[in-house]
Amino acid sequence: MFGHAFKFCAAAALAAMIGVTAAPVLAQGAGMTEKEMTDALLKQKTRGLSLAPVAKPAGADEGGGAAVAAENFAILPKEEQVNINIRFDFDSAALRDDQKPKLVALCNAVKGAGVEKLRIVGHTDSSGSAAYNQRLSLLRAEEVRRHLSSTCEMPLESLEAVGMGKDALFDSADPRGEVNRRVEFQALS
Amino acid sequence: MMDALPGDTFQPGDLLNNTYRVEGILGRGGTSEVYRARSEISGRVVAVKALRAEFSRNDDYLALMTREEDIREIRNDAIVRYYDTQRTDDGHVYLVMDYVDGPGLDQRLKQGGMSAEDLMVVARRVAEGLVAAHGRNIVHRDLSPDNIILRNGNPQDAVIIDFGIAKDTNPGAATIVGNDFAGKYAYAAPEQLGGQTDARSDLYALGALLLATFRGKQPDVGANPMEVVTRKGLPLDSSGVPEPLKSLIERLTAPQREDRLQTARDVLAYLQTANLPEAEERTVIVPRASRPTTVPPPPPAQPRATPSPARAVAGAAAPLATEPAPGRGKGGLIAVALVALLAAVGGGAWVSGALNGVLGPSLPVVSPFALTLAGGAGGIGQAAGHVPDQVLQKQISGALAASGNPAQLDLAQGTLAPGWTAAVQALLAALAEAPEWRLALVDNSATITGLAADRAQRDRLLAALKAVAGPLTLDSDIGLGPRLLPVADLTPVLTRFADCGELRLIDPPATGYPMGARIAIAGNVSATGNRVGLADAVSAIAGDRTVDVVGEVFNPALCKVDLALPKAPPGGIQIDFGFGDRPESNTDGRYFVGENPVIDVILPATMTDGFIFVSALDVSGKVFHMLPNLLDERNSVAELRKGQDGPFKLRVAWSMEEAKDGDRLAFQVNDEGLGKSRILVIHAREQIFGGIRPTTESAEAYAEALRMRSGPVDALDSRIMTLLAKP
Repeated sequence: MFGHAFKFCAAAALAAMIGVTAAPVLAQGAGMTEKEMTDALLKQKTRGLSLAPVAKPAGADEGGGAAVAAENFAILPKEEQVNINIRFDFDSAALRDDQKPKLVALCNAVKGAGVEKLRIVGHTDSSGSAAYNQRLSLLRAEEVRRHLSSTCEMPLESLEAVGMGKDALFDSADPRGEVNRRVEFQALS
Repeated sequence: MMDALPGDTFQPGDLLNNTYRVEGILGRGGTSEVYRARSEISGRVVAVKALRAEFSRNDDYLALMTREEDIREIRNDAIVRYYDTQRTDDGHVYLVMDYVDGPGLDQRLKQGGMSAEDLMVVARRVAEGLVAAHGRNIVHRDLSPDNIILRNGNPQDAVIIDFGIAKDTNPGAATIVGNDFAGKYAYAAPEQLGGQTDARSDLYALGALLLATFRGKQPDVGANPMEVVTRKGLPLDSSGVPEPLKSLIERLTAPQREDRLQTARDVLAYLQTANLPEAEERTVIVPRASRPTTVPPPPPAQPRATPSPARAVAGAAAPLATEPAPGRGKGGLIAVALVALLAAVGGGAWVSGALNGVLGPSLPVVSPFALTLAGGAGGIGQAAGHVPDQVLQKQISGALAASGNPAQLDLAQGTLAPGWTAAVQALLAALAEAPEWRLALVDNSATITGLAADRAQRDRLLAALKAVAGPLTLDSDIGLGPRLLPVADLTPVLTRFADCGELRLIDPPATGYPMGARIAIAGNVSATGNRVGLADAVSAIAGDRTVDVVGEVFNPALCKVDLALPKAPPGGIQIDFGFGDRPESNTDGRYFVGENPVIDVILPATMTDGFIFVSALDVSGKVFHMLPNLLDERNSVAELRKGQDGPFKLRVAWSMEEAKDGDRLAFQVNDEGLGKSRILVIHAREQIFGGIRPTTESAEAYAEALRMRSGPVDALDSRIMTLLAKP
């Protein structure tokens, strides 16, 4: 409808973000094959996620429930993450149609690795307040969770959505880069 | 007296003409009911004969009723006294007549009869009355033991009652036959079988009833029509009757009317000459009005079918008869009379060719052959007219019995196609399903009107009727019921189709929707199919009512939001649409691809505090939050107003030009999500979302946020924006 239709016209800061539909920035993420995803998920399962939870109080001072979810999960080493660059438009938690095929691949990988419980971690770039980004990242994770639940036949209980806000930038060298606006997946069991 | 029924014209306690207080009902007939009432002025007990409501506005019946009232002209103690004809405010017509308290001769008959002496007294008394009546050209036509009442049980105070002459004139109810008809026709003069009646017929009846009452036994008029006709042609058996009653009876009941005493006055003269014990006590009473000794022809046919008025005894309503007049005789009326006779005698499937002198058995021929039946809910409630055989007669009478209404069926024959009876039976079977129906048969055509509970039933009925009509020409008009559609019947349908927020009826009548009403439904559905389905489902039970679904068809995503929306009243917030490139307002809310919608919300003057939330919901399932959002987080009404009074205009979607600096939101329509979008404005007393929402999110996410909202919503306003491809 409004589209992409919904077009932030000429808002300088926004236009820069929204217009980008550039090639993958990372080898990982969008570039991961289904096989690679499966392997990574299997590896996560076997290591048991024994790392201590990382205190992540960012945004807990405002924004309500969304921030709470951030306290109890680990940040995996980057090489062990299953990062899929599910791109979101700036200031948007709506899943774009062109990103949905990536989730199909993820679904297959999750099934292939026999993952029974999956954590979905949402991230934002660095623009905006911590509280807002916390909420936005959680909304993005929840959107993916809803989508997986309905398209990947995974019960909602087996999917955990958490929001990391802007605290775990994928590319800290480009804090406002699209690559940071992503969701990450962790196999819990 | 009988028990009052809800359908009676009057109820005990009713006050008629500010004078007559109804005390109870005495009898019910085909066209009228008779009540006992008391004049609150004089204290006199009267009988009130009320024309049934359905006939009270029929001029024909009124004319007939008026004829009965003509009896009022007759002042004779032996004739029931008629006082007045009245019409109630609501149109019911009734006659007021004397209430005669006492047993009828029929009671005496059943008790074993009366003495010859008493009967001579009765004979004189009745003859006196007949002199008076015949002097007014009024022939009773239906004298029988049960319409001669012994006032206070005294033979010398016998009173002739029931000069009722009202008779159904529509073909379907040409004759009305009560249960005791057979017994009554036993007293008919032979010429009456041929439809010829004059004063001498009354004399015959008088003789016949005297004989029967003496014997305490109804005359045996035969076991079949042939016998009836034959016996009516023979002198009555008066053997064993003491004189002078025997001779009187014989003089009255000569089969050939020319052989009888010719007038009622002749009867009185005869009685005077007879050496009677009573004659010495009672001098002959000469009628007040001296009349010619020959009675002029009776008035035009006024067969009658009414309950006996003024009966304190005998529960049976409606002694009935049918009486064509001389001169109108040859055709249907004669036949009708014979039909009545045949039905009355009530034998087996006998037929009579008496009129033609034909010996071969045949039912009277009527034209048109008419039968009207009505009913509903599996039963027959009314039946009147002709039936070609006893099987159908019994079948209909049996079905009718449950209704409590009298059967009014006469055996007759008409020019009926083979299979007529079977077709009628099949039609009745098919109609059993209909909640209301009326079947009018005239010869070989059947006209059916009725009501079906719903469209499906109507279709079934029409198909079934058509299938079984056989030789009948069928004209069916089945309306769609129910007469009243309760709102409760619609609720489950609305619930079933409410997939996009609540569906509700607009201004539903408290008592339900009458036929022909409009059923308006407000609310949204998620797909055109559902809307059609809703309209169809309502129409299916709505009969002939118009069904209007007033609402939008939304996509499922919008409906998710709709379902999550709080039920809140409109807040009077106006939503204005304009164009980014020109200062026009877009009154119909339609935008084409490439256009730049500008959206203003105008808060009413009364809205001075709280918070507002402005969002757009599009067909692709996305929600765009225009206020608050990252670009503009201020949504406090007080802050926005900054003290400004009055209606307050707030732009939430800007022109491209205005938004070019990137700090404002602008829309441009592209072709990715054409269809209906919804602009939604929520007013709440406090922030309800725990922080601003991302400018774009899914309808599901927004619906979830609405469900999890932290505070109440005061008001909800919305407007549809339609996005279209280029014209």
